[in-house]
Amino acid sequence: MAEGLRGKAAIVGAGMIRFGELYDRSLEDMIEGAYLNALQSVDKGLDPQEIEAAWLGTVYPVGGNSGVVLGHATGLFEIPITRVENACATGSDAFRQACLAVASGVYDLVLVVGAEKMHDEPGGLIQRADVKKLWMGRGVTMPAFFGLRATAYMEKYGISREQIALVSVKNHKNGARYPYAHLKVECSLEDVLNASYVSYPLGLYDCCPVTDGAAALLVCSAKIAKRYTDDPVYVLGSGLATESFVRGGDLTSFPATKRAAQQAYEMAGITPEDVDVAEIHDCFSITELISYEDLGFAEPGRGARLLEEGIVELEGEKPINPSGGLLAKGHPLGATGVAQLVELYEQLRGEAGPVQVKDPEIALQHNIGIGRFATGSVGCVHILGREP
Amino acid sequence: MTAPEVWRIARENARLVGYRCTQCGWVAFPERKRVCKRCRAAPADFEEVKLKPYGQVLSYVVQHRLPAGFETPLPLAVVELADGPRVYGHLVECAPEDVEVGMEVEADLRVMYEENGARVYSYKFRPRSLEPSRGGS
Ligand SMILES: [Zn+2]
Repeated sequence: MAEGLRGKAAIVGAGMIRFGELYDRSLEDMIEGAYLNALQSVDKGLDPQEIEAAWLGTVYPVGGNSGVVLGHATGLFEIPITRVENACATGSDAFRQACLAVASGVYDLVLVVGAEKMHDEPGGLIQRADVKKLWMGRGVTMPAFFGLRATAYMEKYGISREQIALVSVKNHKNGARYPYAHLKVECSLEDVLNASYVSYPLGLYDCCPVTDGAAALLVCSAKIAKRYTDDPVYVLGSGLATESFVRGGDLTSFPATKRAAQQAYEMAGITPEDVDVAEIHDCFSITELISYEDLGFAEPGRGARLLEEGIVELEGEKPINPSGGLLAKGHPLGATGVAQLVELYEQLRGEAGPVQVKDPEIALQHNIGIGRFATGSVGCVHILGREP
Repeated sequence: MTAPEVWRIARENARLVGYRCTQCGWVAFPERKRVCKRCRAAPADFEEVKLKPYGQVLSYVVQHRLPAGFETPLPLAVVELADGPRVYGHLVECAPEDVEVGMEVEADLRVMYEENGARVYSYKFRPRSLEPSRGGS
């Protein structure tokens, strides 16, 4: 059997910029900001000359479909730069590729950047829905893709709109305290329920905002991690899978998440119970609820119990989305996965400030993407730990 | 879809033709496959199936926010056709509040959009239970 990744790669620096509607900053300005913050976060310092390769995760081809943008933003020319794109899981896959490269022994120190400029074009994602597409995604927006799961989930398990809305309430509460969040406003259950519908049964507060942002990580071989910091964060497991509902199965789970989680848990040699804190893909409220189950934190149909009993609150036993998740922090596609990892790096090192959870040892990151005219999906999961 | 894209699936789209994997029973539609997406058989042995023009709503949403070119609120469903294929479909002749999971629907040929002045036809879905008052529809 293959060896896997556990204990071979480590994160030694992490930085991001505050997410938001950043009309005053270009894609390259945002990347530059995240890169500088990541460099400055390295405890014992790091010379940019040491960076041997870089990966850029970005979905929209601002400045062309290549990694060259990252060279312009950082000055890191002459080294390999690869642009990665895998729908909303783009940033996570960029990180995954960097980890694999370091674990293979080809490079010792590499950079990962996830970035997305969503506000230079008007309209957001709804305007990008296919109008002329037979049988596949015609008129299927992202809220619809996830709304279809919400309807099926409520029907199968007898779950109410109120129970799903608890996700939005929790995440906005966390986001209001998170320094890098786009939306720093709390919302009540009534706010969520009374908001106008986007794609029934999902309303405005069930949906993440349209956000610009960038985040960066410095990843190195675990063998040399202590050169940069006494507190590196180790990569314990990584998984990625794709699926499509046209193959069968019901619409109340994301099989790609289940497979990716299985791969990552197995590689890390841990179980869902071992996870102390998680950043989960909550592009929509229902996505987080279903993901509790796909990731093994709750039995099918029982995810809402984690919210009702406060288990996933900031002070609970298993805090989920201390950053406010995509719902509050925002979802700049390519930046999202990397930003989740930046947050967990800070959590594991006890540096998460107002959203710090109590003494986490193991963290899980989860990112979903939708592709192929809304008929296929990608799931990506990483597990991080304080010890290799 | 552009003209070549529509042309490539013209037969499957207009006549509701699918292809069933003889190994696992999965039905490819509206595309002609040589490998099976469910059981990974490659090459797979496919047999042509004339699909029955009806099925069930697996799940649905009511679209309130869409780009120009659609009328809202629009009920949109994942329909599982009786022979197995799953497709996205717009629901017509049915008020948004009357849509239900498990509802029986039938495919109805409609103009979907116009491309370079030509009408592109495909199917929408309407409730299958034909009530006497609706007469000969
Ligand atoms: Zn098959």
